[in-house]
Amino acid sequence: MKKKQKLYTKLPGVTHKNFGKHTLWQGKDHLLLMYSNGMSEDYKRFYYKDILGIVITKTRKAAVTFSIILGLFLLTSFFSWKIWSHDQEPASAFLGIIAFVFLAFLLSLIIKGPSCECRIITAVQNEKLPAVSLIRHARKLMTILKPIILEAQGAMAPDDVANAMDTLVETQRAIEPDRHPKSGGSAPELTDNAKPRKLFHFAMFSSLVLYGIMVGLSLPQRTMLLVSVTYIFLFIAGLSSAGALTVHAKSRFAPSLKKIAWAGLIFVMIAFVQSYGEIMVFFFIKTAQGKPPLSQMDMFQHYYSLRPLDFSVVKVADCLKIFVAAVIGIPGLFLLTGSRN
Amino acid sequence: MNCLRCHTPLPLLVINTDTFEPCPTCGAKVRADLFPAALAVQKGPETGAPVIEDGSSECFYHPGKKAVAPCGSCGRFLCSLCDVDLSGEHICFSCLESGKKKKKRVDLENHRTLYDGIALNLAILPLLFFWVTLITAPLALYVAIRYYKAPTSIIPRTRFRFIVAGFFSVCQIVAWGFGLYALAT
Repeated sequence: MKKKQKLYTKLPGVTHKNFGKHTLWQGKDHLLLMYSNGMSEDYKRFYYKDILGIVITKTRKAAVTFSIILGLFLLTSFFSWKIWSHDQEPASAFLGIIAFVFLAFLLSLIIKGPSCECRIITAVQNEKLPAVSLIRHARKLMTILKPIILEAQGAMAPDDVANAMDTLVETQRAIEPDRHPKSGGSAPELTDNAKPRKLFHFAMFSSLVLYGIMVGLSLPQRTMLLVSVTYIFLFIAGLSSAGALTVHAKSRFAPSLKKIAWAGLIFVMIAFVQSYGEIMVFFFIKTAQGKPPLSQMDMFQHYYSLRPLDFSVVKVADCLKIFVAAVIGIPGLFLLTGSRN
Repeated sequence: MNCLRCHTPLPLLVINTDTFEPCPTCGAKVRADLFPAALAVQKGPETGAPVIEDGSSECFYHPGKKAVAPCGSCGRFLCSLCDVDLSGEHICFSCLESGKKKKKRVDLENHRTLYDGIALNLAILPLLFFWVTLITAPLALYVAIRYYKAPTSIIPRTRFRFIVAGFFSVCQIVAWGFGLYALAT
């Protein structure tokens, strides 16, 4: 029986996204980028003779994810330990399991290593290679790919690199005029559409500051009104951060403003998780005492009738929230009013 | 060639070093590889050579232009403008178009439906809500049989999914048969 010819060989790099995965395959005369969701596949081909360049940049994605997971791990471990010392074993075990899951995530992130973004440049494209999201994959990929591309295109003298760069700049300018201004490396003049819209950022930072104030007011005694207003501000901060990130993708902002907006989003997520954890801990304590809460309203009632100053864990968590909300919100507002864009 | 974090052009010092170098603007570690094709872009597009000698062959699509190669599919003579180099083969535009439409050329496909994956998902996922399998099991069996010979993934892959899907769907159909028979009697 005739053996089927093998058309493609697997290359390093796989990224799972949107219920599918991106992979890279080495063909006879081209590189195949494949997105597969189990029921269909989409392909993009990059012929070796057409590839002008490949750029790989280390990103902070892995580091940021690691920090968030580490924070969540420490938070859950701390709560688990604190509750254990109050003889609440079931609740402590629940939080312990969650902490273990976070620990497993942390270990997997350590094994994966730093993240990166990879783009491939041809005469008419500047395409992201989503399959290559880790530095170790990028290194292995380039070790395999570079000799193949050079074999298809021939060697280049070191003196030709400068000429090739000039050509590439012209090519890139034709593909993406916004990102490649004619006058050196200075930023191009923004059109009305590309001008950053700061409304989302303003809403996010101001609601974070107001959230911090409300948490501070609730420290001696929470009330239903105070808690509701506090979470309305947190909710607005969450929504506006999502809006701010959308605006980021479409226009140019100062890098510091982008960083602080990301920090705001992460804080909002952690604050929500912490509040939910607080409610869940109450649920487990009451269940262990043989008095399970009858409804979610019961759990919420307990939450808003709490005196945070009487509980060291809640007190520390609330003080941290006030501190972080101020540290993100106030400089964010200053940066926003100070930036010309 | 720009840094992907700060989008500023990278200096020659960080290009083709085969290592990750810090971007002079933002400090992000960057590796940039430039290939000889970047020099070739300067040449500009081919326009097709004119007929020089009286006895020479001319392009089928551009009379007056000198033919450089015959189409590997239809045999028509092609000038350098019409000649498309595909996996080392010379192809004309009309054969390229028909090859794409009829899915004769694997290297022109940019989407494929994976019927083996569909059959497998139809056979296994509905088990979570078992009553749905009354409909999905025959459907999975139909897909597995109807598309058994349809091309699967472009990358190396066996037809094992079809077999598994068929096996699971037959089991479900048999189980339903027994269940309904038991109910009836």
